[in-house]
Amino acid sequence: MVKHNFKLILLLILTIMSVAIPSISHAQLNSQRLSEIPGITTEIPEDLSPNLSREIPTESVIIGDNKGPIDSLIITAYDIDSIGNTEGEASENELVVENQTITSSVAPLRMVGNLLNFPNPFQLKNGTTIRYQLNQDAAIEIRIYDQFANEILRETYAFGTNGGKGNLLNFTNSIELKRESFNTPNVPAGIYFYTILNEGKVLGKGKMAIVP
Amino acid sequence: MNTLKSTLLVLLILTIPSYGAEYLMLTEAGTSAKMIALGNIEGFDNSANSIFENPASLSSVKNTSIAMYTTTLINEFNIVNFSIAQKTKMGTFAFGQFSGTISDIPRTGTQGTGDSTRFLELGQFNFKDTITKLGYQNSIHKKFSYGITYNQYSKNIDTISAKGYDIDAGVKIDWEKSSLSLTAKNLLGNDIEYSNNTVEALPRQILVGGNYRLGCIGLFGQAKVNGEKGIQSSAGISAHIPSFPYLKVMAGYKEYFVLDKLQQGTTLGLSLDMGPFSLNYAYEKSDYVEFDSKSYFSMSLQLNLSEEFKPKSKKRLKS
Repeated sequence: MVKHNFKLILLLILTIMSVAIPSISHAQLNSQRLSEIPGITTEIPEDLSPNLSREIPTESVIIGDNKGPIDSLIITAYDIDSIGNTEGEASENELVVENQTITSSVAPLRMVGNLLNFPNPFQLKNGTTIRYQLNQDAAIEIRIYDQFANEILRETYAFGTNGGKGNLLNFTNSIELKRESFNTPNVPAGIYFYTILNEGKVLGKGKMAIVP
Repeated sequence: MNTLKSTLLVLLILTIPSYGAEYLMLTEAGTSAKMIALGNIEGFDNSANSIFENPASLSSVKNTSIAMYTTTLINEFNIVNFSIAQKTKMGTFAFGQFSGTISDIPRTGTQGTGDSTRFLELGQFNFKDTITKLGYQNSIHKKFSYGITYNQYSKNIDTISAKGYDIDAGVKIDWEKSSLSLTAKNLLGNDIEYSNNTVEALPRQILVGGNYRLGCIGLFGQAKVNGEKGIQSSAGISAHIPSFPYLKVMAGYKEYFVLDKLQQGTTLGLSLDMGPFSLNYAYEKSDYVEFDSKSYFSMSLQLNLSEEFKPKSKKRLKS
């Protein structure tokens, strides 16, 4: 009976170790001292408690070559011993940034707010305007499809120009569509789908209705 | 032969194109998976679905036929059709309805003035496009069939609605190993009238198609005059797989207009024919960035209602 319980306890300990050990090394591998990350400029929060993470404001954060603002930066306070392990109590000078957090939190290009066209529905002779905001400058492509999924129009807008400009100073991209945009007078009434893309990735999509 | 010549002449005169903005017909992307798989070849279906292609092909309906077709494009545009045909002593009568719907389209407005103007979503509306057809087919000769359909078109975009009607007519000639299909669509060249006092013209179309059967292989070809846009051609091939007699593979090449520009595409498909029941699937590449393919499904059922019910009831009475 004792032998049996001993085996069970041993098995339990081994199971806990097998789960716990990889998670410790994972944390070490993904940690880096704030001061060691090239190009990072941010202020360390004064009230950061040991072993707790804190999300800090992102407006002032620029990391290395990532020129755009980031979505979030999480800084975790750890004490670091002489061989680099993150154990013990924290002190103000030993703040560590989770590497993985930084990598994944660099803000991807995305739309801010609604993607809409006005008026909708509209007549082609009067046209419509598609408006959207981007969180950073980017080369943008607009594709328009008919209801059978056939592409009927493709326009590109260069990085930093109207159509591909970020929303610093609250800039809104405005794309006007009129009969002349389609190079034919024969655009029948119906529903058309538009997509806003960057390097083939869809940032936003909408539906517009043309009436005769 | 004189009848054929007269028919051709009448159809050609009636399909002289008129000029104006053209209505986008819901049937343009295909009316059944079988037709699409063969490159949008029309007029060789043997089910009630023929009402959307060449009504003369309703001659293939033996007693009662029911057909359905569905697809969803861009994950938004739901297309479905249903048709039923009944053969009688006076000819074959058919009914079909084809509809496409898109929902949750934003109705927009503005807020503010000048540089601070913002676009707002005020609400949402739906889009519905419907074609309803009533058809009739009869045969002058065992090899020569003719058919006609009355087409009712309607469209709703937000508060704007549209209505119109026209007729299609077709002939089909069948020989031992080949068939010829001739269809004229929107013969009257009517306008679709919108509730905002605008119109779009229904495109007059004329289609000439041929089918040649060579053992287990079927070859198809078609030329289509599509309203003001011009001529588009299609070709298709179907083949029974020897080890799977119920299975048929299909492939097609098609030309089609996107606005006024002629484009080309290829299609693939499978057909599972199990006696009176037929199940079809078609595949084609898509331009749309998020979905690189389009899939279509259709089925048809041939019912022998008169043969099933009448004799049995008589036998029961006798016994």
